[in-house]
Amino acid sequence: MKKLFSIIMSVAMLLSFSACAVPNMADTSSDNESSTTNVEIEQNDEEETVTTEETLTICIDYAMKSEMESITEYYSKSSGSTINIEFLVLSNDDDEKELQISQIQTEIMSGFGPDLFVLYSNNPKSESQISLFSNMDKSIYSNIFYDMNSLIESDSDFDLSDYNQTVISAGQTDEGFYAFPLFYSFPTFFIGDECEIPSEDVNLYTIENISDDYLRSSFSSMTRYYFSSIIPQIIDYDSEEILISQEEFTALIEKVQDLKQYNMDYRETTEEELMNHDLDYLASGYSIQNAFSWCGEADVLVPLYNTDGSITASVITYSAINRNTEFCDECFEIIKILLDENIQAGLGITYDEKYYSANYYISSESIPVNNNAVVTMMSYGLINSENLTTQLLDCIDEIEYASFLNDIDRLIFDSLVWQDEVDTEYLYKQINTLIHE
Amino acid sequence: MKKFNGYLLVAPLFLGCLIFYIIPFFMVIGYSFTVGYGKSATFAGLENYSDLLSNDIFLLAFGNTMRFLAIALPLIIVISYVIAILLKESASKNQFFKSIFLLPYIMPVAGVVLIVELVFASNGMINETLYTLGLPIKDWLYSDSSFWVVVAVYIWKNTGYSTIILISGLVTIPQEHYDAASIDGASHLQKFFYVTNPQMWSTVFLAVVFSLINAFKCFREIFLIGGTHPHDSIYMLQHFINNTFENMNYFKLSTASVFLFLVILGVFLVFYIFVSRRERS
Repeated sequence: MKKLFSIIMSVAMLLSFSACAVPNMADTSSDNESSTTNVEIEQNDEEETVTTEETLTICIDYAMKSEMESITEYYSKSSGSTINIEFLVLSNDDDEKELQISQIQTEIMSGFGPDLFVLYSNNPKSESQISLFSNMDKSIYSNIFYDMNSLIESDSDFDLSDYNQTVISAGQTDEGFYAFPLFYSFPTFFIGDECEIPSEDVNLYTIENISDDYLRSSFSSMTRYYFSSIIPQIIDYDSEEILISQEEFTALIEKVQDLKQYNMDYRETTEEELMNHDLDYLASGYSIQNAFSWCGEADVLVPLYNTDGSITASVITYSAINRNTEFCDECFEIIKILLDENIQAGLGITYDEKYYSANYYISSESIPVNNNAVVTMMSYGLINSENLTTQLLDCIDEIEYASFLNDIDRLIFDSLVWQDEVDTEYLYKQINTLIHE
Repeated sequence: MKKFNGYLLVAPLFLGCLIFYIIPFFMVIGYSFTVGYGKSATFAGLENYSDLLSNDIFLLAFGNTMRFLAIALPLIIVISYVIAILLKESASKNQFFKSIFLLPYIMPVAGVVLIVELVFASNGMINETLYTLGLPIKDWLYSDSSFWVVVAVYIWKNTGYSTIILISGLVTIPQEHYDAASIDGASHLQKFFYVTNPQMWSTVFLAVVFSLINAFKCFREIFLIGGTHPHDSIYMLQHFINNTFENMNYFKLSTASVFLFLVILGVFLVFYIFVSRRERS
């Protein structure tokens, strides 16, 4: 018995030694940097605010900083909360961000970490290559987040029907409501007078029927950048399964590759002045206000439909509460402000004669999940167009599936955009690996 | 008081082991039976284990790790043993070779990977030679061949270390035993099986233990060659554990670590029982 115990102990130590030999992959790229780099925590210390020892930490992306400071200041003033609010701002620099993420991951797994997360999805088109939650669709099954169902049910002021039901379902599982999407998008073109409007709904297989060459080329290009939008749903994270066979996946990729080739040939053979410029688009990562600002009253909004004939949306920004937080009620109150009609529409809020802004980074990136905010946003400023509002709302009604942008979107994006030839068998295997890890 | 002096002397080491190895080890076992983190963790029974056993990617990683250990470990021990015997025979003449064999072991990982890239990359030395000879070229690092490349790198890098351990065992065997065997008319092969081998089991066991540690260290090279998601044939348990950490699935990670522990314990026990029986006989 004594011998057996000593063997078990030896093996445990051996395992520990070999584990010590395994480098932390997050650190390998930055061996020269200090291993004690601390996560930057910025305190929202407005001079008049009376704070207590209790601190609520919100993890945000760098671009949201000023808006979130304004919104949390509004929260403190309007609620009379004395809780100190700190921001854990993820860096703009990927090397630094990698170290921050590694530290936050360890804290979360130790049962600590930030109380609230307000973050962008893992958008393949963004400059940053890394995200704290590289795949939110998978993370909502990982017991990291607080189930908001109880908070929603106990709050009589909160009406869930104000929000796009399909889009908010992206943050739900059979067991709970773990993430609340804030903004979303889907690929859509705004077509002006100079283009011929397609006679049928545009999807992967009807693009080649578009009579206008420039529009056909533009839609062809769009498919490789927004692969997740050309199909309804590719993965079921609950059962950890890919919903399409390898053959179907290969056929889709080949089709996108053909369209890519058509787009490239068109660009090479067509003189620039012959290309129609009266075209703009709304898609993940683009400001809806910027996109609409170029539109004329007569523009027609033509979305890229998925192969089922509906629209697939991508969640761009989301919020989620740490399961181990002491401040779930306070976090939910802040989420409610982020979901407020005026905040989501980018108008900001005035309270006690002070204006709290909420424009570009938080509110205007893509489409607000609050349906009322969509109408409010469209009726103000540059976007004031009843025709476009109606068209956008019609498109929103056609959304039948929504998911977070994630590492699988990034993998497919990198293959389709940066590689001349795609090894579909390898890509399919990689997707399968990412689902199961 | 005097009888406690020994315990006092080992106390710092024991405390270090307790805090940094033994307690975390039991915590990992505990995590493998839970879901959730910190205060929100709940007991899940064997759910994590059943989930993991139905996880294709875990089974792939587990299978690859076992295949690697099953092939590379015996291979490195046999090769090191042969080299150790050859070097011992002419130890005085071959001091230089002993140093040469150890060179790959002390080479930095980046250097090893650079050599692998120079030799096995799609435009590396092997493919260029094959192309010059008019033979078909192959993607050595991103095909089934990558497994054998990794085995070759592991053996090339670690043979010297195992050889030194085995030589240290060989030189402890008294020359008189060989002389007596010679007088009895024993051949070289008989001397090996009846004089050398029976006295080498504990050293071989030590060499196996260190080779096992080095086999897990080899993950650094595999990672630098193939990244976080290498070719299927070299996707090891460490890849699975590391990538699961990135996805913050601590209970899956802990369960996989317990499996890894059980595997090492199994290998250890098999060798230990084998060596104990041999030594007793």
